[in-house]
Amino acid sequence: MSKDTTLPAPSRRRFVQGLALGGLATGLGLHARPLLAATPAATAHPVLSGTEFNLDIGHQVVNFTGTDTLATTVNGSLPAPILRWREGDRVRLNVRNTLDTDSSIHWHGIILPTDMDGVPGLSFDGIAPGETFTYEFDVQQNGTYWYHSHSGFQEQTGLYGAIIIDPKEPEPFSYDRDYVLMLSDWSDTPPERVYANLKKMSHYYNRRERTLADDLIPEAQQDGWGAALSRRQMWEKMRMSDRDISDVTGYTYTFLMNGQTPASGWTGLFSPGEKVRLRVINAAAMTFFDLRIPGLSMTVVACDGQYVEPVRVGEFRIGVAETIDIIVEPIEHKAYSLFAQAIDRSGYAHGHLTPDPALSATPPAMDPAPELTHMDMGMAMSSGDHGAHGGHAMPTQHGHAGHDMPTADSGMQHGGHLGVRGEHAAMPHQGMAMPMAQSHADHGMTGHSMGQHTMNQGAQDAHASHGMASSNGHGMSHGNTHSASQGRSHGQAHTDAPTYKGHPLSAGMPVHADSEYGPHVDMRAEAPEYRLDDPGVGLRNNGRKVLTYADLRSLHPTPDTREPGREIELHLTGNMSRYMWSLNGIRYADADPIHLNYGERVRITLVNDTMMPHPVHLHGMWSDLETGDATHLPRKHTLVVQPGARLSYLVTADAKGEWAFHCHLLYHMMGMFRKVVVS
Amino acid sequence: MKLHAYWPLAALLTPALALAGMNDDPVLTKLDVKQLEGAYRDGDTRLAWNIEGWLGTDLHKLVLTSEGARLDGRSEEQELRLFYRRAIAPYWDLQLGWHHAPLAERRDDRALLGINGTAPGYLETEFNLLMGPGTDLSAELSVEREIRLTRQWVLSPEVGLTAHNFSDPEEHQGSGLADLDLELRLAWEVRPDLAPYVGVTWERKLGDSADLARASGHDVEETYWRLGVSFWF
Repeated sequence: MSKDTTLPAPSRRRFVQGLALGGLATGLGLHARPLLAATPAATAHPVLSGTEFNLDIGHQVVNFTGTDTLATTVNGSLPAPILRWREGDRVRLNVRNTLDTDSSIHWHGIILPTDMDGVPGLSFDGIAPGETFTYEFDVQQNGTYWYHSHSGFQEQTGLYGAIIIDPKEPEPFSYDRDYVLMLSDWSDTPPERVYANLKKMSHYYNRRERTLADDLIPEAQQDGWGAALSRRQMWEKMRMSDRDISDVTGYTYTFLMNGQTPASGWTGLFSPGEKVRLRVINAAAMTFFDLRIPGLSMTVVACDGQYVEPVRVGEFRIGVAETIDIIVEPIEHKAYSLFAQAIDRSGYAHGHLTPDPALSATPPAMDPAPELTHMDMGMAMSSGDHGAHGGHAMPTQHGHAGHDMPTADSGMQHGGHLGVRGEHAAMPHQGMAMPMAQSHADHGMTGHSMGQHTMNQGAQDAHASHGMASSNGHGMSHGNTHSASQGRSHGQAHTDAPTYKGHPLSAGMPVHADSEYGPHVDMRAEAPEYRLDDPGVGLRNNGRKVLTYADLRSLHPTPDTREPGREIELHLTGNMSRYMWSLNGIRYADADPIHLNYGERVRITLVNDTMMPHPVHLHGMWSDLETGDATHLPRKHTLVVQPGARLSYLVTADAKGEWAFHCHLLYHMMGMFRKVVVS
Repeated sequence: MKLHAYWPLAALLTPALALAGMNDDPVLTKLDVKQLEGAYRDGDTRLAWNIEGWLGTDLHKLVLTSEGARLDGRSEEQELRLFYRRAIAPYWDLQLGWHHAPLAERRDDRALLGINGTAPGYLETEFNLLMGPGTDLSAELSVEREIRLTRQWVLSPEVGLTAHNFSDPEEHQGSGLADLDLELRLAWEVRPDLAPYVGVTWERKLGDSADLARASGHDVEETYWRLGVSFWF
């Protein structure tokens, strides 16, 4: 595969002095920036390759906002240097800590021995000030990953970098240029202070709360006061805000692309007609990004470092800690905008993909700021809110007008508004789940991804699964995965355990443990559904083809075809107003470890009882996302559970030791964390 | 760390260095100057304040509040409260402690028992019982709601009511409903933690309390114009 790449493999440390401190380019004249001035920006970022690496963690003055602030960096660079490894190599990384506090580096998504995983308290003791810790492990995989500190809030202040692992085997796609797009969020406010602010006033950074002048009066003029007020009523009753999208926002964050502010604008070069691979990594502490390149469609070829069947999309949302590799083919001689809006539209990261450094792209206007719907609350749709949310509440638009959920609607009239507080057992989805499971039973429980569509639609149509593939546009990627026999053929290797035949993705009523009740948990999802085909709040029905988890299909067959032996259900819980986060209502400090038996195949089901998406990361082992497919589950290291939704994935406990399992939102992590012990 | 779960007050005693590492629930402090204002009436300007400070964790806090007014270097009203605030529901806290009114002749030290929280509709609600000496009992209720007019202009109406089960002519406190307090402040939120404001408040004595005030030649109704700032850190 040709790779005339802009990520050359220079000898180690050649570019170390090339500080890619984006703030320096904002024209504030605080620092000279000789290297970048002389070189196309894209090549300026330090790349280290080989098998032995010296990484020095230290402080570095940066300036992204006009104010000098201290960042935490590796080799003086923010982001940290790109590490380029080769699959099959054994790498040694000598990490020296020059800070006056403990530090660590975790290799995110990398399969390695537990003592090399870099989580203080689990894998090792951390790296004390002045000390050097040498990580050494075999590189057993390829693709796009990243690394970051797992100590305190160092990740927020800059300690993150990209890892590229070149594959042994030729890649299943070709490209002419290769860029990392590392997205992150920067605040001049020390993260300890950000966290304290959230504890003292949870909506501190939400500058989009509803107002009389901007929202209520205009709506009342349009729809009448009765409608406008009743729309508010539910949220007011719940003491929650449908504008509560992100905890920390552009009010304090400057969003960065490869360490460059939107004003300085990271620039990648191409020649028209070339194929450009972009390795998008979300290294933000708290921010989900929605990325698109106006004028270009993007072909997703890998997710979390693992190849997927190519999917063409116009936009994708990338959760914190996820990586998505895309290939674009710009034809025109013009600058394209690399536009990554924060999920709450409080700002964006921006760069330029241009044939000529003199040409730059103008970012498009941001999309309207999203508002949460009942569905995002884990409630069934409320009939009272149809006007307000219309199509939003429908996870997918298949045009199946006939499926307009008679049961659901009537159920909702009773349960809709208050269901979330637990007074009502909102029945509709349970009611729907049952016939669903049955209809799949008739089809041998194949449970391909249509199963979930069927579910969401409450489809009474037992044939729906076949018709849907093409009508929802995923036909390409799922078209040939439907038969149960395929699953069996893969399963023949494992004769000792029942073969995995896909998961019906039926959403039974969740059972909320006693520990989920109390002052520390403010809501519990009543009807959390699998919503893999839901692009998520703010992206529904926006006229673009938006990547969803339902589109992901591994290029390789699922390696472990055993049916999971058991299921572990975990609920993502919290109290937003007190800013407390937990799993099953139990914070890490009070929790027992999760125990996995070495070698077992286990299903982990996550139910999101909160109003925001959480990216959940299991260290040390792959998470095979259950899409309904029987044979080609996408392998991920970080899974985004949408608000009020559920998802499940299969894990083969093939790595002994103590591993971290947590929400990757930095200010949630300390509570939403578990130790996983494999033995 | 498990200690916190079983022995909440231990958390209050640990040094406030806890933000490092994996402590999701560090001991924090907050000084909330809710009101620091000039209160103008009949040519006089009083300095008035309402300040709350706390030390604690997510669910357990030690709270000290001070509320009062001074005119010409002399205190006219003063109240100090020191209590333990414990979360009992997602939006509600229980308060238990001590109420001190240094200027009061009697009932200068009383026990405090109350709840504080957010009622549906974002109504910031506080209800306290002040108890003692003996069976003397006072109840106070306040309900406030922020109305966000624009991104930065915030209107805050507040209603306060007090009632007593005793009568004290010297303090103009009569049995039954005693005081009604209507307040309205309009703040310019410079930052989430800093907001100058203007306000007007209207206080009226009710029932027996009003009779007692009238009998001793005092006003039963007072209107103040207020200019101040609220901030916290």
